[in-house]
Amino acid sequence: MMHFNKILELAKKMSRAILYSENIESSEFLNEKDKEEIKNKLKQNSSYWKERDTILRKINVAEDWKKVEQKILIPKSKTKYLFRYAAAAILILGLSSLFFIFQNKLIKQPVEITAGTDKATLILGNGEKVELTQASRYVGVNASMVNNQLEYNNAFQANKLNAGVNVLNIPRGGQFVVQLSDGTKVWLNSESQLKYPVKFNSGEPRTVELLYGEAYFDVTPSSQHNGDHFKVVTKNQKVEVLGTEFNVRAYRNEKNIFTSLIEGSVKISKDKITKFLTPGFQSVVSLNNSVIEVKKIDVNNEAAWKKGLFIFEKEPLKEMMIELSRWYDVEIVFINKEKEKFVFSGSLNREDNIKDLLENLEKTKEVDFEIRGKKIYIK
Amino acid sequence: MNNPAFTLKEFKEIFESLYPSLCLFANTYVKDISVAKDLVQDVFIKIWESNVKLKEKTLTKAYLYTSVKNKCIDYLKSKRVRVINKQVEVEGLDVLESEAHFNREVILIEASQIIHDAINSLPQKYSQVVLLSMKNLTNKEIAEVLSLNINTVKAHKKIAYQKLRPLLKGYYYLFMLIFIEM
Repeated sequence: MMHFNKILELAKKMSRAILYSENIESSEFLNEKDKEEIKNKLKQNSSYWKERDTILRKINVAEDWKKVEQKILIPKSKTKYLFRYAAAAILILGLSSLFFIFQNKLIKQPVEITAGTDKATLILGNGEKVELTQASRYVGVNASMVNNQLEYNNAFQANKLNAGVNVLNIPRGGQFVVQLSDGTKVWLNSESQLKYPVKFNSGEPRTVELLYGEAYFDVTPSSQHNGDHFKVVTKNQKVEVLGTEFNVRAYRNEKNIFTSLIEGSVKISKDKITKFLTPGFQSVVSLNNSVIEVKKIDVNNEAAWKKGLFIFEKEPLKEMMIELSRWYDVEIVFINKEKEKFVFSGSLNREDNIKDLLENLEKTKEVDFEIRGKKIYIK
Repeated sequence: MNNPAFTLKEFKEIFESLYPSLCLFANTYVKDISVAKDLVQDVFIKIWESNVKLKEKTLTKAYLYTSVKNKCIDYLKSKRVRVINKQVEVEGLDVLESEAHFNREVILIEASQIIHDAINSLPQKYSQVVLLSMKNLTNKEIAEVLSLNINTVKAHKKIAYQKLRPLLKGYYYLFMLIFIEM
């Protein structure tokens, strides 16, 4: 803090010296080269002042305050908010070092393919279905919509009437955030289903079931719950945790279950095999055999979807298109099957138009896309 | 949504006085003014939402400049401009992350603001003299350029400097010595 005050003091001294055409003293906070640069810009450089003026003209304080005011008066959910962080997306062709900057070109099409939104179907213990969106004002006996997420209340007294299991179903083109009764937060990706008790029984592991799909868990520590572990069960594996953040990906049409650990420690088991994961590692459980493979990964890529990004790292076009199809809810048809194996890298903001990505892929001259309604043909 | 630290009016005043400088500052990192504006707005929104506990009801420039810097660096990292050898790397990020960049740009922006305000606070006949003298012109040369008597130039300069003195003195006290806990 004192350091910063000294910088401000220096700025003041420099302005005085320049206005009075005096010499500028040296300072430990500014090397000679930078000092000369600042002095020259401020004193004689009219292009510096012109440029500054041009930029300042592009800033409308009153208008931008309105934007800020709107956001702070009507708070958005954190997840939604994260989408804005990655404004520009850059696509890089994996095998050559070319990259293209996205341009906001829109092609007019009769049927618009749009990015997904926050939506889910909540299936209550009695089979009743509730459609939820970001704007829902759902208030139930034990859960309600708060800040665009579904929050379970730990305080309510479970009895035979209201206890039981709920299921949250996320369709294609959807995503959703739920906070379970123990405070654990779960981000659910498109085409996923999560089953969980409305309240966990004390003295037993807190168990939820990822029926299929992808989910990112931020688990509250066992120490806050009398030592009760947290367990994520999928069709072919179990993940046991003590309080941590991790991502589980178990899609129906994929042969493997991927569990990536961001923070903490988890135990993965399949049949009789058990492996522990440390942060930055991913386990791959194959549906066909009883092996758990563990490998190092870039966790940022793995949980990118949660931050509102697609990040592809040397990804075959087929896998890439499958992932995109879930979010944009489109059907992918490879007319030229050979193209399925083409490998690309790049990233995309999940709020962006899919056409931007396709156009940039086309610029590589390796693939051609044709959009007809909700189908994308790859040639 | 209420923030116990400031009223909306106070927050607006802080925004209005510091937003342009912070945008200029963010622009030195992201080199795109519309992105810069978005990032600075996000910083303000986050401060409001995070219930920052303030010992005083004022935000420091230090806190804002540092938050904006961090936000810009995060943004540049999220862009993930990658090179082919699989290393995640944003070009020149280490230079931008350095203290030297931070110090230089803060000083330049703050000094520009002071000089700009100072010049604008003067009546034109005085500001002309100061501007030319900033360009290292002698009193004699200024007198020639403005077709004035050299003694008039000297007198104008004297009055101008007198007028500027209070402005250059008390400038920062508004923002100094306030400590913030997150």
